[in-house]
Amino acid sequence: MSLDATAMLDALVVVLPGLVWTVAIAALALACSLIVGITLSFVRISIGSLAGRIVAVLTGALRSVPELPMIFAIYFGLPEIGLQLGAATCGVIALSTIGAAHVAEILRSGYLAVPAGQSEVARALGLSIPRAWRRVLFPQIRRHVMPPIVNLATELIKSTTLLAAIGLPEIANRANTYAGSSFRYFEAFTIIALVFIALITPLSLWARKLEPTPP
Amino acid sequence: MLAEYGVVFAWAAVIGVVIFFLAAVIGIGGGILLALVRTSSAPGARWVAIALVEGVRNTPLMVLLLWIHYGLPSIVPLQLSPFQSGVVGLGACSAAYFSEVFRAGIASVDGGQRDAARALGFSRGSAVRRIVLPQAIRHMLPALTNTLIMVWKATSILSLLGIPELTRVASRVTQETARPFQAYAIASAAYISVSLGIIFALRRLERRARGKVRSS
Repeated sequence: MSLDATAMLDALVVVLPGLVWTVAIAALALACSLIVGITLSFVRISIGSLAGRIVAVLTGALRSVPELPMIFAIYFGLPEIGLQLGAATCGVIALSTIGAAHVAEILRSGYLAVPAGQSEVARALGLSIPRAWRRVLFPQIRRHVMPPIVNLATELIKSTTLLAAIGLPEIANRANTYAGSSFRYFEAFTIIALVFIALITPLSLWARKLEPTPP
Repeated sequence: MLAEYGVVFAWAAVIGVVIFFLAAVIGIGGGILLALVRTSSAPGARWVAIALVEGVRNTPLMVLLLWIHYGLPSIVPLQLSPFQSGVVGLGACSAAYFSEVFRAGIASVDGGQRDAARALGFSRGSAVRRIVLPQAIRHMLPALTNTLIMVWKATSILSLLGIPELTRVASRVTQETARPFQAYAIASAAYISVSLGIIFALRRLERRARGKVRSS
């Protein structure tokens, strides 16, 4: 069989509506990851006690758990305790549980990358603590954490394809259905690879541009 | 607990680790090659390497696997087994990621180091081998650890091709016992343990690399 351009176009028309799921779930998961991750990193940084250590162990463990078993555990596990959630909701929960651990780690290393003297000098110059954070620490932390956060966004977009395995009609799932009924496997999977490259390449270029250049 | 499934999970972990090793070897070898081509002065080859790396890095692994296992055979007569497709796909994916690690590592060594080595009479090859690479390797050890853990975690996606690794076995055990939480908790514990193993192995390597530099 040779490459069929019209089949490629057909496949594109079939898979494109799935892009809504891909983008919506990645965006929601990123938002939840940021909210939870920021909270966790504050616990880890400011409370140097038991709570901070628990958060450290928890985020460390979560960062080594792959997304797919997490998705399955939540999708097939929650009904066991009487909670019946849809594939999309489970996807957001699973991806942001792991995402939050990554955000917490990114923020912690961003915070550690700013020399401690910066905060002391800001205080010595008479800035209040909130003002020192807003005007001195936060702008420097932001420079360090933005590239890995954008990279996390690209990873989240890629991870949404795993939700095809629990039946969410996103791009990969639709391509699979189309390929199965038309036997145009090559065209269908080539087109979704191209869709993802078109979606993610601008983000990864942006991440590279944000990277602080070494002096 | 699912004690009777202990052996099943252990085997699944072994299969996962074997795939991880194969993909890591392909990835590190391919990554070095891609990084060298990417930093070379031949413009045609450089652009091909950049397009390959960026294309693979920006495609989800699952799509890459579907493409290799189901897409390619429909247009060329090349049907790989799920295991082969999985190793090739994961290997290609990790080669793209490793090439970025190596490129950044080489870039982190000041160009003056190589110039100085050349001025002191090192040949171009031995300047890279004796002066640039030892420093580059020390700079890239943390990124190397992260990438290795990413490759290990990504073996879970190969379950979608039907390879009986940890995630696949956990879903099979779930079907047999209707205990999803326990099954996936065991699989997750195995993923975490191997990740810790990778971290400790690389940390030992790092210590050795540092010791060597100090003594010389």
